[in-house]
Amino acid sequence: MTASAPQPGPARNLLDIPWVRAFLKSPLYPGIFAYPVLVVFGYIVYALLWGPTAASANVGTSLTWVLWWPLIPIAMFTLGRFWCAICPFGTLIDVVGKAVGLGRPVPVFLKRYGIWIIDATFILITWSDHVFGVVENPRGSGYLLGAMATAAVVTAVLYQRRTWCRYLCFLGGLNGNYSRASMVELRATPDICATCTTQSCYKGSAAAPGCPVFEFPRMMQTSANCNFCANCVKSCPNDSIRISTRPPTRELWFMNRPKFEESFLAAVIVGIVIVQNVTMIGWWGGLLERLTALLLGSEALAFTAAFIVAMVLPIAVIAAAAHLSARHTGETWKKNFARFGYAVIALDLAGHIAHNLFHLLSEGKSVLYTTINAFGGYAGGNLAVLPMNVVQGLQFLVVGLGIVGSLFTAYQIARRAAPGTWKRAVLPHAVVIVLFGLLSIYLFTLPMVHRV
Amino acid sequence: MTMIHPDRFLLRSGAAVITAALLSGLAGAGGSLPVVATFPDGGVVRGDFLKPSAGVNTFTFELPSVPEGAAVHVRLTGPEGQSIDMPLTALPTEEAGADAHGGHAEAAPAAGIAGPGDAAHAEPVTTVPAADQDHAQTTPDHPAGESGHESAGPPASPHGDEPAAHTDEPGAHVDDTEAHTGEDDVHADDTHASDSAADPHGSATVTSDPAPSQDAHGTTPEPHDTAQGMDGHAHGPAAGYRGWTRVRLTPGRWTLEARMDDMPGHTPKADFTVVPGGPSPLFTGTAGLLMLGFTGFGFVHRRLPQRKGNKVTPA
Repeated sequence: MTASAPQPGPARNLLDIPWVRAFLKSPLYPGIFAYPVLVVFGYIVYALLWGPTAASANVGTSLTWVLWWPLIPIAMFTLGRFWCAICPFGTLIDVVGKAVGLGRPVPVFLKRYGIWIIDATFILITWSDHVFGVVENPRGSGYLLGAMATAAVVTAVLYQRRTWCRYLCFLGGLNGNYSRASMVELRATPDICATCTTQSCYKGSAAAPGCPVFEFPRMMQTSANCNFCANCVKSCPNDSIRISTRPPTRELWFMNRPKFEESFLAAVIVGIVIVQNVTMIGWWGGLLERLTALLLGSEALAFTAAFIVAMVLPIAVIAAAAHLSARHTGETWKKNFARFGYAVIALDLAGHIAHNLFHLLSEGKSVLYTTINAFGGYAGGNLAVLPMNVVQGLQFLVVGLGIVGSLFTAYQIARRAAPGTWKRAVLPHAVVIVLFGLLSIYLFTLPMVHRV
Repeated sequence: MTMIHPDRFLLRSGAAVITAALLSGLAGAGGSLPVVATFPDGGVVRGDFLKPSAGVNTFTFELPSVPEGAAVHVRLTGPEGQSIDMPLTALPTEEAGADAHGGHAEAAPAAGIAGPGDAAHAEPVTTVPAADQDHAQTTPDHPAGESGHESAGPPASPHGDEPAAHTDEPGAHVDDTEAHTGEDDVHADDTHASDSAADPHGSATVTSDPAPSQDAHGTTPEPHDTAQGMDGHAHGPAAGYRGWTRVRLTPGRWTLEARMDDMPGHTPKADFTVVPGGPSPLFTGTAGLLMLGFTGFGFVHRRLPQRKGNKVTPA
């Protein structure tokens, strides 16, 4: 490894490609994707709430949890938060906000504590998924989507732009973290913006509204919030906006202002991936039974206990590593946690993708079957798209890449935080990353159960 | 003059087309109904129990194994004592075989949308002589009332009134009832959902009995009599019936019983339980009120004069 810091090199501006620029500047974009997605979403909610109660027969369940949910982390990695530009909740917010929105400014408490609300919501939803049934229960899934739609509408009426997406949506929080590791970024060209007096990228213009997630491209240093809606591309009179490819995870190497709550979310996601994997493997049922017998015969209580352990464990382990590392970076453990917590995002993303590859590839045909059945046809049969050994090989590959990505990120962070002692600063975090990675690989060797 | 922006026109047209396609899909969603129960001889009962407490439901059955020449009555009995005589359509020989292999109820719901009112015109008791089988092939996709077959019994009451023919139960039927009473004991602890792995449709909101009903002969059905009837066999003579109606299915145990006058011992019966479906009214009510309330609030508030920085001229 070299001691010199890698500097971002000039990347190709995708907007230099004429048809890309023309498409993103067209009023068709992103509506051409967003409105059909909204319609499909409406059908999915209908199917979840009024359709068959058996997950295996419900087209809403398969479209949501076998197709959409596994594709989300893959899309985040390749396209950043593009999904958020066409997300049905976002489209709903745009429509409602335009029609009846009051346009109030975002409350200060949301700006301050929004990420904590997202953290708490994410944990609560994961917990309730296992206790009350969300994924395996079409009604539960319908309630979740319906509740989110309701909350999105309420915030759209009260507050300006996409307050919900930026400060409250748990999926947006997850996507924000993953997008930092993505392969594309949108940025402004500083030299051009230096002379700009319109700031139409933020404020909006006759060509397009202002940035829906309150970003000012001139100041952007992260892709956590940009959803590639291209409003700024349309509005900018100087063609300052660039959309470029970049090496995955590179943004994480240069975090100038690391935030504890964002790193905390990354650690939480480690726990959530562990929970999702553990609860789908064969021996989980036996373990839960034994825990239930110990805890007053309550399965909910038993799961809650196991869940707390799974949530606290990664946070505690990363915090312990931060304590050790902080001695060499000369900062508090909390600052060290905030700085190095971003390193596990690559592993989070890899774990999420790998886990859902199982659902996408070993039960993916259920999407086709349930869709055909829902529209009056008949189809059924083997659900697997690829053989299980191939899926498992892909899972190991993805987790392996995640481990490498996280280790390299930790190394880059350490070199900036403690140029002289970076090896000792990074070692505790590297050990933690390898441990989490090996745990993921081990869990993927065990047989898992299907969602549908 | 207002100009139509071509991009917006395309966008809106596209959205309208997709919406129309999905809505038509919704309308036709009843075309694929989950199997909710099975007759011991291989027939299946399908139901669309999306909203059992809120509206009418498409309900179909297929009874492929019927002795030639038998006069068949099929009655649906509900948990509150409601009784509906099902209109019948003869099932052609080929289809009877196909249906015994898990063939689909493509005809019944797709054909029609005749409501309960149409059922009043149907013949609940139909005799299909062997000679009529060829003729029956031309009419599988129509409600019984349109089939043109001769009626051998009294017309059905759309209100489920007991036709005279049914009040005069033959003794054999009493025996059947006793046999089924025994079955009810077996079924009492039924907690199994019908959406087994073998059932690609799964079950909507219905649980069916795990053990196939015994027929009036007291014979236990063969193990291959699965909920789908996908057993690879055509049972008995290949003449059968298909029926459908749209009824209000209240939650509870329902029984579909077929009785054949010429064969008093042959009374295949299928039980299924309708459980409340759809989302919790508390959820839909709360979500609906919140959405409507807030959008209404926004709508009204935007039209009220503002105190400060008002750019909207009050009326």
